[in-house]
Amino acid sequence: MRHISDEILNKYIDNELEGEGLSELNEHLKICSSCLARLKALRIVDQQFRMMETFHVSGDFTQNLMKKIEKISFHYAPKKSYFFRFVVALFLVLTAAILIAAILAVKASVPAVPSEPAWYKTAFDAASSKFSDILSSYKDLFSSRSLSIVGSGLAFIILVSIYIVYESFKEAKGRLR
Amino acid sequence: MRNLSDIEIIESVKRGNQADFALIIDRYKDKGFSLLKRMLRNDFDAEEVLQDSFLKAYKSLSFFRQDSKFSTWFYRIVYNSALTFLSSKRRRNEKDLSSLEDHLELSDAGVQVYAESENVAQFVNKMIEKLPEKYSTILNMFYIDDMSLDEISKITGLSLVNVKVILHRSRNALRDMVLKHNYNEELL
Repeated sequence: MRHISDEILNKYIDNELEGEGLSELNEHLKICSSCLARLKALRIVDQQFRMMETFHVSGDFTQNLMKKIEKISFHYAPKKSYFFRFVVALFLVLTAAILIAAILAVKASVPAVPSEPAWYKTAFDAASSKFSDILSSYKDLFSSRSLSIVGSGLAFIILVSIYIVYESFKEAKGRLR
Repeated sequence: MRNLSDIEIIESVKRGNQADFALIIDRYKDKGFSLLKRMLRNDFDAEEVLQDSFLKAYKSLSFFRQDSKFSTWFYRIVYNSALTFLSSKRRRNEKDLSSLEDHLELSDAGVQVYAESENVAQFVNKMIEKLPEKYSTILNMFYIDDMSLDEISKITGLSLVNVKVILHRSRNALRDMVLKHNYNEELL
């Protein structure tokens, strides 16, 4: 009589046997005491392996190791979001520019009242007139057609660059995850 | 407090909460120690290599890609550290541990262990220590660490077939011992 191979018995132990193979094994075990004894012994070994001893480290292992980790110079610093800071800074600058422009517009629309100006009013007038001068010089600079085209090009490049930076930031963040 | 996953703990450590690494140490220290003790056969060496493995893991956390389980990544560090330790001690070299012995001879050891054992549990536990390091290491990974054969293959660098062969050979060798010393009749 042909006996069951070790490989089939191991597959049976690992629940890898099914269908025809499983029924053939069951039929054979009914008539072969030798294979049945081998299977039972294999099952005992498998059960004992499952109850295999786990060894334990000394009680102060974690404490000692954490002391070593604290001593080494390498630390994980909290991640700083430079992109977020950049966006906030840009937002603040733009808000300030819009605010100044609005003040200038309001000032231009209100008729001048002849009275003794306060020192801060004089200073503000001087600053705003300087700002208006700079603005008008830039306006002159961009008034020519060629410069307008260059300006548009530059604006386009800046927009594309911002988009690329944003996309690479998103990708890097995804990779970290 | 809910049980944090490995990934959640690692993210916390990366955010600067260094003390949270103690949770990872507590979770894996005994399993790692059992594995190392079966590879190195010495408590002191096993603890030293385990400590070294945790330090390496801490320093390399930023390289851990979450496409595999943390346990697989960590056990690979433990396994490779043990191999480096063994080769530096010149007890065994890496080639020896990754090659397969054609024949697993345990009968002499079996007679001695049988004389010292009171029951089958003691016998099997002592016989595991008599198996070649590679065999007991793979048994440890499979039965204690609940790793799949695929994970064991990734950690040890052995082929899936070889891992399976080692597992089956270990079982068969111990089964022959159980039959030889009639332990199956005692239990049935």
